[in-house]
Amino acid sequence: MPITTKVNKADFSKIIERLNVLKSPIDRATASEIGEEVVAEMRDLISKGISPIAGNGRFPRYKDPKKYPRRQKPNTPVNLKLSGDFQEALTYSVKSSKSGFKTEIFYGGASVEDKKESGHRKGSDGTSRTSRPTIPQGSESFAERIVRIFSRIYRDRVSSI
Amino acid sequence: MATKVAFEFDPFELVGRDKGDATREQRREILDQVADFVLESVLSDVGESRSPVTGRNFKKLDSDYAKQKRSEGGTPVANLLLGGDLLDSLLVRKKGEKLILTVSEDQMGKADGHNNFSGDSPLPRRQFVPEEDETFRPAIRAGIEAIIDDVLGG
Repeated sequence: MPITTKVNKADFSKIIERLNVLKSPIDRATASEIGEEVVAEMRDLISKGISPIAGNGRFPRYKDPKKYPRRQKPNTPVNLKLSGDFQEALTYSVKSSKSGFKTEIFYGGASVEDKKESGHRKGSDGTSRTSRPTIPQGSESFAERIVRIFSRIYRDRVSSI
Repeated sequence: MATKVAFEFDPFELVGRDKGDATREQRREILDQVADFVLESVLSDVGESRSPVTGRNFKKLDSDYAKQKRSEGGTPVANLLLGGDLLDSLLVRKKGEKLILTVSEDQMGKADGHNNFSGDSPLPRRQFVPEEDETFRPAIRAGIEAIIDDVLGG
């Protein structure tokens, strides 16, 4: 027995529109929100001496904090802060991508801050005892507290569509 | 011998969730993620002088000790950091399908000094490990529950 149903054209086009949005759910505002919150959490963790990279825990200690100018660096926490320029330079940008928009986290401003990041990554003696990377690379991933942030924002965005 | 300062917990039980909803692989993934999340959260709370158990701020340092701490290269706040040995030794390890938040054996005395599990510590209590009948503050429990939701939903 044939079944007939009525379709409201206006509702149908709304559904199509939503399905199209779901193909690329991350809009510019969502990508910006992720950037804002991730950078804030990264700065917070780093300021307390905690690595923003998964599984790294606390940063390894400074070998010789007294070598810094005017002994201005405390032994603890290991917060990679001397002038404050490094943390200030941590920023994000939003770019278009397959899923709509993506967020990139990097050290902006003067390229010297990028060099500081690679310096912290290498460590003063090139070993893991002094290596303090802050932005995940290769197989590294963000600390779980940061993953929680973009997971929450992504979930909220998808459920709002 | 120093009193053992440790908190053993099952992430599912801690937030009142049924473990039967998860496959073995999902349970393993949840355990790994919760271990990282709890360690980061406890370190983060202590870093801002807050108890990850009660959520309340730690009592401030008395002025003499604050001066001493500054002179020894520390920051004069109650963040349990002087040399860093205690917090460097903080860990979350797996035991079957449970997790244990604790410190290394050589730091148990210091950890008991702050957490006062023994009841003998003369120091103001700055608790960063829950006792058996306690739990983490609500924001940490919410984070654990979100991890379970994400893994089971994903």
